[in-house]
Amino acid sequence: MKKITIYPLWTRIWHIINGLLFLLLLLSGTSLHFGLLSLNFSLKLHIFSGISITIAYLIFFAANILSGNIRHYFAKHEHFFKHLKAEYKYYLWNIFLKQRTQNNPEKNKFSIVRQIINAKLMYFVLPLMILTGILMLVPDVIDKSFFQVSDIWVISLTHTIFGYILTIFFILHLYLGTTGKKVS
Amino acid sequence: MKLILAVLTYLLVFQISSNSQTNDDCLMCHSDPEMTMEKGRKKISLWLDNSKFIFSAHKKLNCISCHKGFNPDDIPHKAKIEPVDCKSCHKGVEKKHTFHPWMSNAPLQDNCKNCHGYHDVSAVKSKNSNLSGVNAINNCGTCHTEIKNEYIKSEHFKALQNINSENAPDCNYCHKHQITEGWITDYKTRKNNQNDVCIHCHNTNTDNPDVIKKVSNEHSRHAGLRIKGKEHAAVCTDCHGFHNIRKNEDTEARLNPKNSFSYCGKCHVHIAQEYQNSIHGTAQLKGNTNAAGCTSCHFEHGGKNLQITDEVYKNNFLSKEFSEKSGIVNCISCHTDESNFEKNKFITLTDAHDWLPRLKEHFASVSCYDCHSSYTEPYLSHNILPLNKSVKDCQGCHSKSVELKSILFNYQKNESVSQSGIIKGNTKGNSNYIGITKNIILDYLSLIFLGLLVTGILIHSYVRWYFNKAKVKK
Repeated sequence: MKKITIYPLWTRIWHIINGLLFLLLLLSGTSLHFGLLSLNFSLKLHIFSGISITIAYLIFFAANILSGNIRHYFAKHEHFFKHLKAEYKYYLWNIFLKQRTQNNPEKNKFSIVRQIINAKLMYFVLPLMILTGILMLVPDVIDKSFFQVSDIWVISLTHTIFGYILTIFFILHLYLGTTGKKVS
Repeated sequence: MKLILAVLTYLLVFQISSNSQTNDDCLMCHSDPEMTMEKGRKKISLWLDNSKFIFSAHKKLNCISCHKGFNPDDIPHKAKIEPVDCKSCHKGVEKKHTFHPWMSNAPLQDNCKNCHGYHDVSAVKSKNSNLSGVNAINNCGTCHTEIKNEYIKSEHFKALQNINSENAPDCNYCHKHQITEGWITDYKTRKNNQNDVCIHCHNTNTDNPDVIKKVSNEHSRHAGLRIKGKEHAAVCTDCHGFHNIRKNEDTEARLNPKNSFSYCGKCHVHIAQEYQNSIHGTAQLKGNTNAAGCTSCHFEHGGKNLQITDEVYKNNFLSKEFSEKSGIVNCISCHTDESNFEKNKFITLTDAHDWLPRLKEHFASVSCYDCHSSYTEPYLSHNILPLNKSVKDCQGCHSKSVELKSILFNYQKNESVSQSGIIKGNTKGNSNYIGITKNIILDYLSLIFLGLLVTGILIHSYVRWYFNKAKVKK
């Protein structure tokens, strides 16, 4: 069987690091939000992981453009709605029958659903999480009257809501990883 | 026939002689100051001081108008001399004297003359009356000794002595109204009457030039409650007392700060208990009469003209608008008064709050009692704490709203940066992250969603396992 390398090495390394850092952020963020562990420890861990994931994201952002990998995030699909419908059918039913996906990885690295989700996550949700995190870390940079109400509250609430969205993605991502023949 | 004529002549002569008995006839003997008679073991004076009688209310009456059935030829004039029955002329006495309810059934010797006097009896409204002005105090005071002793210390008695006019209240001035249980047993009406008697003189529209303190029901919280039908709300006498009414400045006055909590506390029980434990209450109990009492801060009859200048507000970073609105002007008036600094060991407001950031903002939004009263039940804000025990609960206050949470978060960040530099200051774990991301609706929604997600995954996994098992069997 011909081996197709969908993800280059640097993507895989970044993916693992990003996943581990996100796990740390999730645990320390939950601890901060609900006051589970020591504030000092949780905060330091959250800040460390946050800064690390920011650096990792910047590397990803640059490498994604330089390597041309970014095209997979914004690729145009033929028969978009037809394929979209087929993918939903796959996740809701065909997945139980162990059928293969409709997507041809040689043609499109991401299926339509995964492309939409990945693009939104990597170019909207994650940058916004990083931005709101930085603003909470250095609140003085915010124009105090920008949101009319409490700026830091709007920022922290946005950070929390997007944190929940990323957590949902994280859990589903891990679960869907178990649906293939191999984890890798 | 002769006998009948003789009897008729005797009776006619006797009647004429009796009816024609003048006061002068009586005074022929009874003007002698030394004229006495023995009654039992007592020596009773039979002297009539005509110099007083001729000015009395009864001056136009004859002696025999009252002393009925007396035979001037007999000594004594009557076999059994009975007390004069005033009620034979003065009808409806009971209705006028129901503050002495026992009077209607009292024996004759115990009634009228004891108060109204004997031959010198005057009209009650007359200045010479036993029952008018200072005379009334002494007269009523012969029986009501304790009340007299209280009254003679009152402001009303001082006024009575000074002006002794109808403008100052004597006993009758108040007691002619239905204000005692003798008059009326209906509690609500009685209390309203008590209030009205005081307000009759002390109202702001009074023409009485001698009334010093003028008040208005409109500005009284208690009166307002009574108007709303709260019949147990205090009336004037409940706070100021009845007979011993003094100026509040008088240390013996009920409403002097030194004593006020005892009286206010009769109704406001829990507040008085808190006050007693406060720094003001304990200072009062230790004998510091300068310490604040109820009436130092609560002005029942409207705001006191507190002398707080704009300069005081400015020098102490205080907000005039907030201070007046929140009622802390009373605290400010004492605690910025320089005469108290040495006398009561006060320090300036700015020195006392040197630890507190953004003093101006805090003084424009936080009342003194928010921090300086204990947070123990029943939370009535009257247990004012000493400086070293005052609440410094930044987190507690700043968790009450998003706005406050953010202010504290930003402040702690800035403090941290200014102390430890940008990098260390921003990454030090001393900022209040907990709480700022809290939103109860969001928390519940996220937990519900997470629950649904996990349930969905479990169902999905089960179906996958079920189909996989079926496929393997095939």
